[in-house]
Amino acid sequence: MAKREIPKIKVEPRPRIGSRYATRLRKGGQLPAVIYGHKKDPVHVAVNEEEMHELLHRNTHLLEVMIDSRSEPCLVRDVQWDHMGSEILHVDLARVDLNERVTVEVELVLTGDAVGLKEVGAFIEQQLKALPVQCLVTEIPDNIKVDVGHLKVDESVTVGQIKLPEGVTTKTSPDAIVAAIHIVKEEIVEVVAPEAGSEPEVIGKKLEEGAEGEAAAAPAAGGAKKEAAPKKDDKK
Amino acid sequence: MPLMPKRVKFRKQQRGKLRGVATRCNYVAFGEYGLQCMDIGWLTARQIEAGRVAATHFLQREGKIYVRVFPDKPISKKPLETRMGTGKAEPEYWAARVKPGTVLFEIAGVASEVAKQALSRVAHKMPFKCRFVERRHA
Repeated sequence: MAKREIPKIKVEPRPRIGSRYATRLRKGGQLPAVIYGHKKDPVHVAVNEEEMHELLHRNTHLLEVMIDSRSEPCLVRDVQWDHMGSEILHVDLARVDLNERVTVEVELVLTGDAVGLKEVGAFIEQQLKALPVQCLVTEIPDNIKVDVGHLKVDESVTVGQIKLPEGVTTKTSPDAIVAAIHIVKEEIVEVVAPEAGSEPEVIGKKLEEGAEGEAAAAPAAGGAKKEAAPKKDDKK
Repeated sequence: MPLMPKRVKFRKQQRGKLRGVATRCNYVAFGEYGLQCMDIGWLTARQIEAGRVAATHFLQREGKIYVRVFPDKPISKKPLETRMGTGKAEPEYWAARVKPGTVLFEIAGVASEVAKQALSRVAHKMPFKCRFVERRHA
């Protein structure tokens, strides 16, 4: 595999941490991030938001982080998104050695026009969207291509059938299904109107009723005495 | 027939309060494209069904539709011209609690433009402002 250039990103150490300062950073077009790993102290940093967005959009895993005058290679370990999934809130960067083998999730891209898709109602379902792979830090692929051109209806591609790039291995079960072609079941139109009083079954309702019935049958005499007692109260 | 649970522990529920944003179900997980809710509120079983039917009719057996919300909250309603009191009314319909960011529907197996048109039709059936989202890659 050809050696690729590691993208560089300039970061600034942030002395003040906490949600308030993180919010201020975000308003100023920067992102809070943390660099950790390799038994060194974690460093809290601020990254340019636009730069980070662009790098992540290109499926970048490895970064050359320039902090002050030094630089260290880091792996994008985790990215925290906001509730709408549109803005990045925080980035975790893990220190790595360039000769280290790491486990990363790589996107699976389906290629080719499947034969089975020509049938009416056929669609391709991608069950595995990313594959955890083990490889050298410098050899992390941007994505892994999976050829589905030969797939017919009710056929599938498994992890074992994927051609992984050289030096890349996976611990995922080879029987795990990546993509399969199915036929969409025709919708059965029910003409029958829904029942007016249709309600879900209440858990434990039947049991309670059964227990009450038993209790009433066993102490018949005692029950009569108990019934007599409240009548006295009524007279008062 | 609209969606509703098969079994419940209690027939009636208190109204409750909806606060905050969606911290789960807020990304496209099954399909390629999704319809994301931008407001907070209840989504009734009839509205969910209306959205599903709208998408199914538009797609004409093409692709797959995933409904990501389920109406599990019984909503009671007193009959008209009834005096107040005499206890809680009978459940009238079922609703799903939806928060900003919740992905309501997903579509897989169709082109982006087709999915956009289908989900736009679904959005018209929704009582909230919604937006079209794509799956975020790893």
